[in-house]
Amino acid sequence: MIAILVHIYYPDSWRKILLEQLLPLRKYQPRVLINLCNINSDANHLASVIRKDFSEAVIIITPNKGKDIGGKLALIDMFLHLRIQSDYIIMLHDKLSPQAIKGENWRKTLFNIISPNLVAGIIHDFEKDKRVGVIGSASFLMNEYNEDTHQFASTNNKNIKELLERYNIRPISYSFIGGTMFWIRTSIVKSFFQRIPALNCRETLEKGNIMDHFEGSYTHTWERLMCWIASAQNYSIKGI
Amino acid sequence: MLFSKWIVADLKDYQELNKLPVRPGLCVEFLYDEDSMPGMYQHVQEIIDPNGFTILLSDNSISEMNTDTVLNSIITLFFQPSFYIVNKAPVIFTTATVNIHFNEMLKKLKEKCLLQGFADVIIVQPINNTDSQHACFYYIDGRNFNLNSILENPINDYLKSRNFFPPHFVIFGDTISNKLVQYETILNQELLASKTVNYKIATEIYYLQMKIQHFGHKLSQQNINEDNLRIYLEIQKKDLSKALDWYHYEYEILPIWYKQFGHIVKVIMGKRSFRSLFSDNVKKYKD
Repeated sequence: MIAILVHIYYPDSWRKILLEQLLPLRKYQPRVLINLCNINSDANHLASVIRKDFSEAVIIITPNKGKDIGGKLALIDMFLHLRIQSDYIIMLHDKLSPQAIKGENWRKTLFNIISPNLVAGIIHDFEKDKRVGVIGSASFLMNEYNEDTHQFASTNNKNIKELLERYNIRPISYSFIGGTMFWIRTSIVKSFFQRIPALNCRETLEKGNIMDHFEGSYTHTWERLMCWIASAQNYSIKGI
Repeated sequence: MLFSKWIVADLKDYQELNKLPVRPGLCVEFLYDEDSMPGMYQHVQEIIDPNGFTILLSDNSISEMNTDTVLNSIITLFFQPSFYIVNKAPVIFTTATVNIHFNEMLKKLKEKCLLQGFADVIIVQPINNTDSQHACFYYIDGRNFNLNSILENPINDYLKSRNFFPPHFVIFGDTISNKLVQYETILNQELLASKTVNYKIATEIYYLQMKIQHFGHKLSQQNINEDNLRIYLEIQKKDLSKALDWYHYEYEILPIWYKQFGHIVKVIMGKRSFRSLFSDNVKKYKD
């Protein structure tokens, strides 16, 4: 059983990007949970449009906090409250990255993880190797940690160290999937967020369209932590 | 309709309200019970009206609001598409006794809501318990209201502060059928009141205020978009400058004869057409 957690910021991305990508997944009978950003005054209208396509979708509307990470944390909170039974969670969002010339390419590569000809293989990979905790695009599998200096080659270095300490996360590897779109075992998410409530984590995130090009942010730190919660439970991160 | 009307009922009674041509809001007493919360979230997902439901904090609710878990579970309700939100602030009703514990709990809830990105939390109290005309409600208990005179205070407030808060009417009662009868009574009273001058003025003010809020929201969206574009431009400038530096140090600083030789290599490798070495008017590259 699969649960799909989708954060939508841009109102037109449901019909333009996401619907087409999600329809082929219907045969797996996933539980779909969607977060809409309240910055769009017609979020309620969008919710009714989504329900026409996915009548069983659970929809929430949240303030614009922590970009897609904030949305995904709110969705994890809802997922846990509803006690949904699933083996894997797929995290997605309408990554447009308007600041980046390669934004569209990034999105296409990240969305490969739900391409119909890869899904069965991903499930097989999880079943075959019980130590694989996260699967995402190999092109976005990164590691910024320098073992000699014990620093992260990122503007988020300070925030990373602070949050690892605060939440007592001790990853066995600092690899992560940039872009926060991946498959993760539900047990990993449950185990971490039952210890530290997702909404408490969301409280620390920055408001609005925060970027980390010039200085670090808690939001972008969480982009890394989302994978490290798996690594800290002795699971590996696999790129495909 | 100008007055917002709420029926205090269970979530299972929503289907009854849903049958009505003019639906009142559903006000659910919040009583935390870990095992019944999943069912509650599932039920509120079925409410289709935006601003279709809210919660009532009673003395019992307040006594339970002493942990992060309970406060978070209330905030999760605020995330539901049908929760009553005004100007990005969730609106909740309370009949609880105002004391130190009550104030402390609401302060905590408010702080947590701000941290989640909400603008505020609006607490609506019974008219007799509060000095605030801004967030008050009237109990519906079968008696007739002089709705015309009830509107005088909000109109006067508007003239002073340019803020208009139409009063709420909350229907309590024992059975859902009894509550629906009371709802119909207040609906009829409002229909009669709608012919009065005060009601007409109040309606005008209310819709004017809604328009102002709508445009204010649009303006703030525009400002956000403008800020975003400025940031994107800054990032693209930085990236472009990085790429140009890379080009300069990797290629531009090489001697000219080396670069010219490189172009001949490109022709040999089939990456560039031979004729383009001598003319700018022919196709240079294959792609």
